[in-house]
Amino acid sequence: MSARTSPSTELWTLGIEALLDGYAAGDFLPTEVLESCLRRIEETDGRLSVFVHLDVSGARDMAAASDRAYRAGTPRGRLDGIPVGIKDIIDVAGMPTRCGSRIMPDHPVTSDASVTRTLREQGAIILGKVATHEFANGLPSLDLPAPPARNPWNVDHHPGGSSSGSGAGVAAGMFPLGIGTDTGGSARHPASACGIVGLKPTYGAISREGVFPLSPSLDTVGLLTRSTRDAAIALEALAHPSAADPSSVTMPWTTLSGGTSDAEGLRIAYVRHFHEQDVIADPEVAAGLDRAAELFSNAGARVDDYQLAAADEYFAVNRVILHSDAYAIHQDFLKDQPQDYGAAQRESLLVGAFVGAADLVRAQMRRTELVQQMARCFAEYDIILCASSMDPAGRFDDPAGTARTYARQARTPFNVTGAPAISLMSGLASNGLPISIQLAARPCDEPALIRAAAAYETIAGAMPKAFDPA
Amino acid sequence: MTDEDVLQVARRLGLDRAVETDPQSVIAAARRAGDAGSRIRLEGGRFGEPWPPMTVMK
Repeated sequence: MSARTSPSTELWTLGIEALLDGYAAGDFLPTEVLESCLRRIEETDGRLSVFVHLDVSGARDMAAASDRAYRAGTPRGRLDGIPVGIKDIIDVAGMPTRCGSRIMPDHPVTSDASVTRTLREQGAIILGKVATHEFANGLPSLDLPAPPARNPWNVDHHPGGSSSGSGAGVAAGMFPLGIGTDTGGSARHPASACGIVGLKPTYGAISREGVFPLSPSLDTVGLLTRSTRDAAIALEALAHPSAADPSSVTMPWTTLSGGTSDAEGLRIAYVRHFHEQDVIADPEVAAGLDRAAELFSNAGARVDDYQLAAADEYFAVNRVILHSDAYAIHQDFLKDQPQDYGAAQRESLLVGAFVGAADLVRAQMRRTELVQQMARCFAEYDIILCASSMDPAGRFDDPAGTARTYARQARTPFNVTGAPAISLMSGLASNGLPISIQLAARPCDEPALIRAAAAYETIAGAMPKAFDPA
Repeated sequence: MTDEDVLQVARRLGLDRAVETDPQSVIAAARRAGDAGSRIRLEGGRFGEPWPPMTVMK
């Protein structure tokens, strides 16, 4: 029996690292873990609406293959036997890619996305496709083919998005690894809302071949897990360029999960104006950030206040580029079948029809300046500490409040600059919902990001989970 | 630009069906595009100018 499990532990509660340890120790097999996750899905998905396509038979075949690999002592990769839920804008052969929309066909696609191929090569158990906001954009909507995913902490609240199912499923214990995407914060937002870890790697670290695009110069495959070490293991396995995604690159590192996790000597730029001046954060979120700065400082890091451009400047650049890119992708659908979009999505995608070329050029120029400015920060500092969401998750019955809180964030700056960033739980607000912090590092320096995030998890102590007994 | 002007532009862009299906969303989208562009143009005033000094407060 490995140190991380006991006979009473429900296998669906275990994260990636604990599962791999258990497999290696012979404590349990992937088929047992899969059946435990399937029971959990059956218990909870009726109220959480995470899955839009669940392939039980296929998952059982994959788990049996993992059993054989572990019995033979030859696991096939870093994720052998790890159940995974995949956002429904990412192709999985044999399953439809509906993108949460009536626009897309119901028939199965015939080939895997690059990241799906890598998951298979690494031995992961693909459970199925999970909920997304329509085309990975906008807000939770009630006029789409599938209902929106709900927050496992309180089903009256949204789970963040657009990778809503990936976040809710990991937080609820359905699977330990959720594959999402992040164009303006869409993987880190569900992590913040659901009290888990959301990692947006450096732009280009994971190939986007076979991922339905929203904004190609901003889109990044993101990872949702229950710990930083789990995210590091997954990123080690999945960081992979492909010829079909010319923006994908080979990272300068090969391992992330075996490094140090202490804060001693880290140089941290605390960008407090994002949440104190640019967008005034909920006081509990702000207190969590100050507490993180204090913890890092007490642990031997140097923490200085630092000023970047105002958050709204990043939002403005992101908005113009995203709307222009998205319109280019959806133009034909919008001309031929606009009635098939949800109302909010139709309006959002139509914005790009009216963005002028000069504004797009200005946005691109401004983006270059913002990249250079952040590079100057990273010349002095290893890590940026700032807010992720400014509020706990909003309620479904308050759409105006939800729209307001979706926009109150500081994730977009790292999409604009391409820097890797991670959202981490910092505690629970007085309403019982998770709050979070965000860390970022210079592009391609995931080792520093993982080190700092793992250090924070150590010094902040264990956080509650959505599935902890009440 | 009036709402009817916006809808005319949309028709010229080939978005006739969107205009018929949901003209209010077309008008709202055009307003949002204007807002987004205004924000960029506002920030664009700094093009070519040095950034304000990056202040490090200990």
